[in-house]
Amino acid sequence: MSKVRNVETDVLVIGGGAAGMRAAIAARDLGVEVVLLDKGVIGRSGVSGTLPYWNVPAPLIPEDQDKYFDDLMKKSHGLANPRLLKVLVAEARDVVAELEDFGNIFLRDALGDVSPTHANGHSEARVLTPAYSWVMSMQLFKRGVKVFDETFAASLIKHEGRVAGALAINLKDGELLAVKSKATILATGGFGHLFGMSMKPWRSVNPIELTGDGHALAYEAGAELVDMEFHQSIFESQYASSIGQTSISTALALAKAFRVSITFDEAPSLHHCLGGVIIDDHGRTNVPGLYACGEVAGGLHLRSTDQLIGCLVFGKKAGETAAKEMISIDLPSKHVEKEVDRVLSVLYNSPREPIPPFMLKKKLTSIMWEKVALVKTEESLKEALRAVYEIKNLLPKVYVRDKSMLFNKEWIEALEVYNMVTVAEIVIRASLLRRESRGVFRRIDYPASDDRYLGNFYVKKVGGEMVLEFRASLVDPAK
Amino acid sequence: MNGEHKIIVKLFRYNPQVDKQSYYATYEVPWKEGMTLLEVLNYIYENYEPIAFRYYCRCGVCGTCGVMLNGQPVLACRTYINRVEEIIVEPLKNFNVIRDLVIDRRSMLERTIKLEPWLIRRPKREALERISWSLGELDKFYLLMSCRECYLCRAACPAAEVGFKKPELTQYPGAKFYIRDLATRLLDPRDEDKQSRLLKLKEEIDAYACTTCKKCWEVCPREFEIPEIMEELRALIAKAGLGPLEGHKTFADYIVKTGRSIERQTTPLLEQVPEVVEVPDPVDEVLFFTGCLIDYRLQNVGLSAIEVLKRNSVRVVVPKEQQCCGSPAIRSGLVEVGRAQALKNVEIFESYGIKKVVMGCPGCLLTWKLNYPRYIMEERGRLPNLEVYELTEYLVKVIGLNRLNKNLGEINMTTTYHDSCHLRRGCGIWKEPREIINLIPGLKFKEMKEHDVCCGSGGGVRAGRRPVSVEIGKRKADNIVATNVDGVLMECPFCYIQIRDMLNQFYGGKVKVFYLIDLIAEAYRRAEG
Repeated sequence: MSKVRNVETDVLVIGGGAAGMRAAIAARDLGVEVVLLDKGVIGRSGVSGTLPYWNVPAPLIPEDQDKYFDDLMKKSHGLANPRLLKVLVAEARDVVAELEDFGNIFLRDALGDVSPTHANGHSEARVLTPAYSWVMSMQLFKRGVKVFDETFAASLIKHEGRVAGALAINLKDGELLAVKSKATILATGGFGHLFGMSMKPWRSVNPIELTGDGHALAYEAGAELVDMEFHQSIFESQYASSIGQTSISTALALAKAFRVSITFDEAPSLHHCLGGVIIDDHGRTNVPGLYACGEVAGGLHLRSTDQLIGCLVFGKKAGETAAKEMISIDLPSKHVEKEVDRVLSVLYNSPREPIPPFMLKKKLTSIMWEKVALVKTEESLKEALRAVYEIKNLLPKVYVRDKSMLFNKEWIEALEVYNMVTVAEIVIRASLLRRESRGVFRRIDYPASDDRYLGNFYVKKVGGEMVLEFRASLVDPAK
Repeated sequence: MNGEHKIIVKLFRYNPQVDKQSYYATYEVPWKEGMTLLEVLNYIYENYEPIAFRYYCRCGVCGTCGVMLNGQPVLACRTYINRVEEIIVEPLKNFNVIRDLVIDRRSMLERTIKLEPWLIRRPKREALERISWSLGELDKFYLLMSCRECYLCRAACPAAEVGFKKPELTQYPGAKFYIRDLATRLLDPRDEDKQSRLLKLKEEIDAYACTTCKKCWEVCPREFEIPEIMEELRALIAKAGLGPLEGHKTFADYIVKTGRSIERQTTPLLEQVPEVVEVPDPVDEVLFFTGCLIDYRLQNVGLSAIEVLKRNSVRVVVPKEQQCCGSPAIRSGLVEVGRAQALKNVEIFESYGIKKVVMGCPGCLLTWKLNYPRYIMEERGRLPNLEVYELTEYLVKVIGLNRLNKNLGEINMTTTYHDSCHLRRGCGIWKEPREIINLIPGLKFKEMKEHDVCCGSGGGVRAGRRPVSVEIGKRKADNIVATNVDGVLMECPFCYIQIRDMLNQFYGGKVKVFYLIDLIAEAYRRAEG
């Protein structure tokens, strides 16, 4: 039996990108103990950590707040939760200004005043740049946040209906961590690599960490997810302005014009997920003790250009709320043991007809790329769903060749595949239900927008079953 | 297409939980055009066994996939593999290894945190305040902020290697720590903790252990002009009254007092040669700049240089008023002393109406090529009206290999060549000396291991941080002796003295040390027979 190291904290943050770091800082600033788990290298992890620098949009004058709100609403094609966007535009300026206090300096004009630039889909020049991920990571250490990087959160552990902590694998020390927390924040980023390849052709420009772990953990813990069928490609970002209110014929015409893209070989590539774990305007999920922020969080329906500001505003919100709503509960050892058994059984599994995890991953991501990612139909989605179920049946055959616990990426890949299969099923089933094209979501068989679908699909695990539900949008499309 | 080409990959393997010691495993990987090293590693991972290696972004931004490829630090994702027979892949040098190619970055993070690279100011100002600084400063700030934290600089650095293996000699950690963590804050006009940052730079970083050899610059994916930044930082240390070290001040004092950076001992070269060395039917005329060490210590080298130029029908003018180039002061941060020397020397040399200046010291050469144009531009608003050449560079580029006097006598000897840092990375000269070496009859040439790694004398380290210098120099001596040659050639008085001392100290002078210019002159003399 492997030894498990016990760690106790007030607030646990899972994820070390912009959102996770901002959440940890916010919680720590309220005087509580914070532990942050990061699957990558701290300061260089997540999408935000692998961008050369950050471009952060914010309304610099109060009068711009309404315009920014309208821009974001328009960009979401009526799908964003206006309450969340209100919070975003109201608090954007402050969290961006803080980035300068942390040590960044944005571009200045000749007089020395900040000089915002334009970006796609923005009616005003409001993007401040550059800021650097590592600068924020240093604030964690300055404030005494306890960071475990290259540490993979394998499962959330619940007690009496509340999230009580997590089980994690610390790659560098080859040890298991059982983290007991009074509040837990998910900031694990998106799932771009559900469509991606680790090597050429990439198909996702996200770093390889983005495998939707947080989505799967939250789903298993009973959290509700939203807008999981929406994911943005580079193709999308580049041509969004010319497409405008997307019609599928325009999209296809563009796809034809860029022949490479229809071969699904090189460009375009997936880089941003618009949906995720539904949060309220304080960063709470529907699961007690569990908070979410950044790309893993849903409801804001942000495009990639605006995601960073979403990370910062709701990172801060989630961190503050978590620190204020802490409840000390047990981390029951039998729950921990159960999870330890699960991750170790994946490591020591020696099935007949073994399949190395990377093979299964490739199989899954190829299907997701070809049949779900960009242009899809009822038929392609149904094929994809059948294939995902087949892969799900193959999971017991996943064979980790390397049995050492020290820096065993293959073991992590195996656990990721489990998460990816869960997220894939959610994505496909939500895509099947949305029989229209809207925003970045395109179906060849339903090329036009249909107002009956002006709303969001919510996904939740109820009694062991995946349940999807449609709720009409909170905004009036006429407005 | 005649079958697929396979590359033999020799890979460092080590799992401390299983292996008593590290070993190399060998894999065959089918080669493809445009294949990166990262793809090679992934191929092994997928098709042979799950080796441990680190990567995240795959496009050179996260800076985590650094490894040694054939002894050179590279980012695996940005390194294309040519159609070669064999490659050797190892974890980055100067790091503890977690497993296989995965290095332990934790101690680096701890060092970084100790440097407090965040903005420090009190009380807090208004948000997004007005900041007035020049576009140049802003660009530089952004460039340094964009450091990828890949630690290739550390893996390439001879001083950091000493720090890693013998921490009692120096704590010097590699360029990243002052480039990203200190220089950015020193540039930041808002930061109020500059004095303590300079103190950290001097004490915690041990800034004077950097030999300014530019190895870091060579491997940096952001192409930072690292040694120049180090010199600027040393200038800030000096301005703040915290430096330079005692050994450095002597040079500067001598320069100010005597025009030379060192003490006069024997008859200087300038007193041994006429001002004008005439030749019949000259093909060209040049000014000769001696530099302190050739004038005061290695006079023979100067005589040889003049001899070589004469043999090629070049009229040589040796300005008698010339002084120290200022390099020792500039390298240790006393920029103003250097600037004064630049003004004096340029004025003297321009007064002859001859455009080309030839010299035999790479330290002077780099100062003339790099620092002088900047100083003269700042002071006079124009560039110096002079072209500067190292001797072999002049022979190859100006005289030309076909016009060169090849009446060279035989020298029967096996030799190797040490690239001076200032010459190779500073001035881009490494082909020329080898081309000249190839012309000398009887001379057998063998390249040594790490031929372009610093000897430990540069950047004021020999003068200021002797134990570090000796440690780096010993490695150089080891490499020379391992090459099994009679003589080692070089073209830098600092390298010459350092390597001679190191070979004497550690190997009883087993290998002879030659200044390349001396050897060329000797070959000409022997031709007369």
